Parts: sequence; structure tokens; C-alpha cells
Amino acid sequence: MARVALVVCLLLVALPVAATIKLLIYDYPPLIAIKGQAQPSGHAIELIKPLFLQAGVPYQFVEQPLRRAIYQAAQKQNYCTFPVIRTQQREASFRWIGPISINRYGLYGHPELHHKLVTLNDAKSYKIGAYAGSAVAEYLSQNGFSIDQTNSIEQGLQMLKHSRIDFWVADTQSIRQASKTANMAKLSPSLSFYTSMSFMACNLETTDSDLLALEAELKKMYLSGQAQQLLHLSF
Amino acid sequence: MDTRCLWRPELLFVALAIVPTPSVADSFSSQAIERWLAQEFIHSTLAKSAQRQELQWFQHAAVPYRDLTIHVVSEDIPTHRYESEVLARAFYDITGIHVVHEVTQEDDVVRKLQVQMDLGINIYDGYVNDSDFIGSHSRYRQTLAISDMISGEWRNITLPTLALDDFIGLSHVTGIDGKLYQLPTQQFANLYWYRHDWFTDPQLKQRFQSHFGYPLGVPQNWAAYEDIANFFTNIVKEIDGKQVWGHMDYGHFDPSLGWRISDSWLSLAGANDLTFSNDKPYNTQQGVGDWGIRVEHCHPVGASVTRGGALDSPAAVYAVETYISWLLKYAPAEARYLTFSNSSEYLARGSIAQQVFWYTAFIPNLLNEELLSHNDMPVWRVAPSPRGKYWRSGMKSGYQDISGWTFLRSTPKRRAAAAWLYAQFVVSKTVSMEKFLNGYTPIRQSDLSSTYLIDNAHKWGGLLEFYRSKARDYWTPTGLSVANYAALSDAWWRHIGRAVSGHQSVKETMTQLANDIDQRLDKLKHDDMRCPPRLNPPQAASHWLERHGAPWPADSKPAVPKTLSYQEALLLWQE
Repeated sequence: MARVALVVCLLLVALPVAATIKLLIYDYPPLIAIKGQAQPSGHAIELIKPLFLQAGVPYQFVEQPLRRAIYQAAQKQNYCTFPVIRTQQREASFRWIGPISINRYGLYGHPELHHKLVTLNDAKSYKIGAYAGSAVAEYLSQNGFSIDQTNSIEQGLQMLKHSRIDFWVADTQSIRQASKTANMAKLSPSLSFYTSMSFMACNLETTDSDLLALEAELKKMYLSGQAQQLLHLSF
Repeated sequence: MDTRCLWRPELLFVALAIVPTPSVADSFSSQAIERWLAQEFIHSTLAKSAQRQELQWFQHAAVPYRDLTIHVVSEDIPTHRYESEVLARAFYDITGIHVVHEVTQEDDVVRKLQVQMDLGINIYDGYVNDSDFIGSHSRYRQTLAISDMISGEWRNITLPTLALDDFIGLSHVTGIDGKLYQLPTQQFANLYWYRHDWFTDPQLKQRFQSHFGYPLGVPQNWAAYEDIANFFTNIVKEIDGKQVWGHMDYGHFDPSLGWRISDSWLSLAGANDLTFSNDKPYNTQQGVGDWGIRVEHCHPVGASVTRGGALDSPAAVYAVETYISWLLKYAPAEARYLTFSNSSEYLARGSIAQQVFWYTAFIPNLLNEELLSHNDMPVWRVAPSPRGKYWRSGMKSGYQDISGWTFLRSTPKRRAAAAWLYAQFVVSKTVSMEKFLNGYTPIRQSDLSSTYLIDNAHKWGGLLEFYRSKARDYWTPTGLSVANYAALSDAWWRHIGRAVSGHQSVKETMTQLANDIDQRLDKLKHDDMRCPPRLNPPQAASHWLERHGAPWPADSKPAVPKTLSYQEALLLWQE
């Protein structure tokens, strides 16, 4: 389904005519912020813009919900979407560029309660909330946890604030921003337990030379430290 | 050795549920040590006093690192669950070092390791990585050589009772330069699995004998395996009113399809050279080893027959054709859509008669009611793997997965040192036997020789018999010929998938796979590594097929099926 093209259409007239890659994105702060923005912003966007520019690949951002974005990128030539967790099930359906982000997920408790967690197993007796459909919620479910899933990060933090859950699961980057919005004191994780890398998933028929150029450029950006800086990585 | 508490398989998960709970007061203290010794580390080849000394050593050595939280990662099998849920907690209570031991899917571990190796980002402080990577670790200069570290920087934080010579898998984690790159923390073999109760049932035995003219027993070759598969799937069909199958496998198009073939299936068919062995000095060897790659004086020189390799040789084509044919003819219809993980749950349902390619890491799944007899003994057995028609005595006999603690140069030294302490803790003699009893992935000869394990061997269906025999040296991981595992491995499933789906013939598939591996090897020659690939120039296939050794020429003669009784089959492991 056609969607409103959000912002940038970069035409590199000096180069041979190359197909514009449609980058399907969805609101996922702080990596991608779309809601209420004239232009998409966020850490991953800050990485992608110079990456495509330096690789000489024209692109266009298009907003799509995550599930539709993954479906369309699998179906249509020169469509990519990010950030996507690269699972064994998805591996064969895409060409992959990345990592586009690396995140550590933690269990965040109410700032006035001090539950001590040493291993993930210690959290099994507590009520845990997580963002519905997130990879980390799936990881916990697969590990035998019963999760209260919420439709937004803010909703989860409100549940934590009012002690309706004992722990909220979030990555270290998104919690910083969300806790400010929810007017909660700076939260620190009781346990950081899961590390995830996300990638850009591109259609299998995407022009090979474009993908090779992007791959090489991204490697350069990491080796120079530019990517870590743009992504605010603390590793 | 203390044997006060007789271990029982059904207590496996109960054990995890009653992990000792610390009190703040006794953390990092002698009380913490006493509590863990009394409640968890019951079985050990060490006397209690020696266990206590080991734990006191860890407590003392950890003092400079007590403020650290370190992150390590491993694949998801019961052994690593035990490390992550029980041993990481014990280590924290005793030493004060907080270890977050993540368990995740194998391909995720590999991807993260690769990112850290390529980009230098310290994602984890230690990895449990398959020794299939030993060709990469010892060629590239990104991985710490543990033997160097033990005699250098880590001298004072290396457990005096670590006893490296007690580890049974050390030769497989030793690199092309003779240095140790990984410390084994678990190992499991790929063996033949079958329903011993059905194979010894007088009526079934008689039906098989009258139909095929030889006794139902442990198949010694693929011809006998196929007859038995056909017997249960198409002739017996039902046992106790339940449908049964004579074969189980998986064929879904995802990365685990690659392991199904790359974990030595071609070697079992007989694609390798006779004399190629990981035990001889690497730079003296010449011939075709794992993945059909020919190596000359430590340099990989090609995978395709035209370059002297065997990846598209008649034996390799026969191996993959056989795998696909059995999958489609004898396994449950859904098997072709299953993966490594979800197919592993299938045997536990009790409807499969045999499986030619089965990982012993899944033993905990099979110690369930469905597969235990009235006296709590398993109704199944593991036995030597049957081999294909090209296999000859002296060739590799099967695959073994050995995972070892692996440390990268990009990890800050202090964090790597703390991770090294944890790695030694989870393989120490104090905990290794309890770890075995929770995951069945032995690493120490002392445990295998212990009276306690020998007395209880009958509970594990032949696993201990395998690990106490010489056979464990002939079931080997992917060897040193694979110069960069991560860069080469996805070629397997991407190509094999086309043959499984029927989109192209196996012959075409293997030719393309061999050419792809050759091209990838050629690309790697520019990397900064020891013993880089140096491809042989292509020649007519006949040039190589007519010489003695692999790649072997086509053999059109059908094999004569052969079976042995279980006891006779076990004797083969002793030879």
C-alpha cells in the first residue's frame, strides 16, 4: 500500500542512474522518532543518512508499521526496512546490512523498591511488563516468563509507577527518554540480561553493488568510531 | 567422591528450582562456600576439603574484580542453562563477580562473535563458541591464545588445579600453531539413536528377519539403516495403536539446514581422505578433510573436484541425495518443514524407531516418562553411527560438538580476566560432575573414570560407553581446514535448500556449492591471517578422481546391508 513519503529523496545526479532504495521505517524511539516530527530523526536515522550518502546509494524514507514493513521488504525489489532483529526464521528472506544498533535490555524496578536480581531466573516470581511484540518480550516468553504486554513504553512505565508490575523490560537507550517523558526519576536496571543487535533487512533482489557498497561503508564507519558515536553506543 | 545423594533424572528440573538462596550476610564468605558445597556441588571427584580449597582460591582471586558485572554468551542447551541459572549465581555468591550469562540461539552467538571480531566492539567479555571455529581463531589474530595467557598475564589468576590434561577435547581446540585457543566447557557427539525396546521385541525381530533376510539390529551401514527405516515406516506402521516412523530428520530452509550437512554428513558418507587427521601436526598434512576442502601444508587449496576437493565429488552427491531421499520417504511428512530445534523435540513423543544423525546434548529431553521403562531405565540406546558406501576404516567416523570459552583481543583486559575466572569455575573439578548430571556433556576424564558415573552409566543409554572409549577421538568437530567458519558456513544452507525443495538436482547443487566455497576461499586469501587459502588451478575432474585418495571416483555397486547386536556394536567403539 502506498504511503506518504516522509522526507528525503536523495538524487545523486553525478552517478549512473541507480534505483532509489525505499527505506521503510516505523516509530521506535530513540532509534527512530516519527510521531509529531516533520522529518524522521533518531540515532539510527543519524547513522543511515551518512551511510547512504557516502556509499552513493539514493534512498527515500517511507513510514510503515513494523509488520507491514517486514512483509513489503520481503516482497518488493529495492525495499529495505530497519531496525529488524535478525532471527533464524527471517534469515533466508532478506539480505542483511548491519548492525544498525546494538542494545542491552534490562529489568527496571520501581526506584523506591530494591529487588535484588543476580540471574534472570531470579525474576521469575515477579510481575514483568514489556512492550507488546518486542523481540525481548518474545525472548522472555520463550524462557518461561509470563509477561504483561503493553501497547506503549509510556503505559508500561505508568504501570511500574503505580506498582502494577514489579519490573519493566526496556533497553538502556529507550528507557532514558521514556522515563523523562513519564516524569520518573532516572531508572537504573536491576539486571541487564539480554543483548540484541538489529539490522537493515533488504529484499533479496536488491541491487548487489548497492548492498556491497553499503556494507563496506558501514564497516568503515564502525572502524573509525563514527557509527558508535552516532548510535550513542556505550559498549 | 561423595555419593550421599543418589541422583535421579527426574530431579533435573527440581534441582534448578531449589538453587540455594543467598543471604546478604554470607555472600563472598566462607559461609557461601559451605552452603554451595552442602546443597549443590554434591558429586565431585574431589574430596570436600579439596573442593573447599578450590572455591577459596576463586574467592581470593576474584577480590580485584568484585565491582564488575560481566557479560558472557552461549547457545541454548541444558548444560548452558545450568551454567547460566545455577553456576553464575554460585560464582556471584562466592566471589562477588556478577556474571550475566546469556543463552541464545547458536546463529545469534556466531553473529555477535563475528561483529566483535570484525568491528572491535566489545559486546561480550567471553563467548562459548563451537570449536568448529578453531580454523578461524588460530588463523586470524583476533582471539587470545589461552595457552599464552596462562603462562603470561593470567598466570596468577589461573586455577592451580585446572588440570588441562584432564580435558578430553583439548586437541580439537588447539590451533594450527599448536596453541590452545578455547577452553572446553561442554561437548556432545552426533550418534545413532534407536528404540532398543522395539529392536529387541521378538515379534518385530521375526518380521524383519523374514522380510529382509538378516537380523534387526544396530545398522552398520546406510543400506541397513534404510531397510530399517522402510520396515518401521511402511511395514510396521503402528505400534500399540500409534503411528510410528523409521526415520526422523529436518529440512526447513534456514541456517540449521546447513549444520545438518556440514556437521560431517559428507564424512560419514566417505568423502574424506583416509589419513586426514586432526591429531597430526597440521602443516605436515595433505588431503581432503572437513567440508570436502583439500588442504596442503596448512593452506586450503579448493573444495571442488577440479581443484582437488571433494565437495561435489560422487561421495558428496550420494550423501546429500541419501539425506533428501530418506527425509521424503521415511520421516513424518512435517519433518521437511522442521528445524534443528523443533525436530529435536520429536523423539520424546515416542513414535520414532531410529535416527541416523542425533545430538546427545538432547539426552535430557529423552529422560521422560514416554521413553523410560517401568524401572526408570531408558528404552532407547545410542550406538556407533552407520556409514555410507564410500566410507572406509580410518576415515572420520562422526561429528562431535565441542564448545569452549573464547576470549577476544577487543575485550578490555580487566573484564577478560574476570570472565576467565568464571570460565574456569564452570569447568572446575568442584562443579564439573554436577554439570554433567544436568546436561550430559562431559569434558573431564576424571569424571568419566569416576565410580559414581560408571555405576550409573546404564541410565544414559550408552553415552558413557561412548565417552569412555577411543571412539570419542574419531567423532571430531569441523577441523582446521575451514579457514573462516562464519564467512563460509551460510553457503551450505543457501545451496542445499534448493535441492531439498526440489528446485534443482543434487549434482547441480553440489557443483554450485563447491564453486561458491572456492570463490569465498579465494576472497579470504587477502585477509590478514596465517596459512591463507591458495587455490589450486582448476583441472579436469578426472585428474583428481583417477589418483589414489579423495576425491573418490563413483562407486555404483550397492552396499550389502549389515546389522549387529547392541553389544557387538559397542565393541566397535573399543577398537
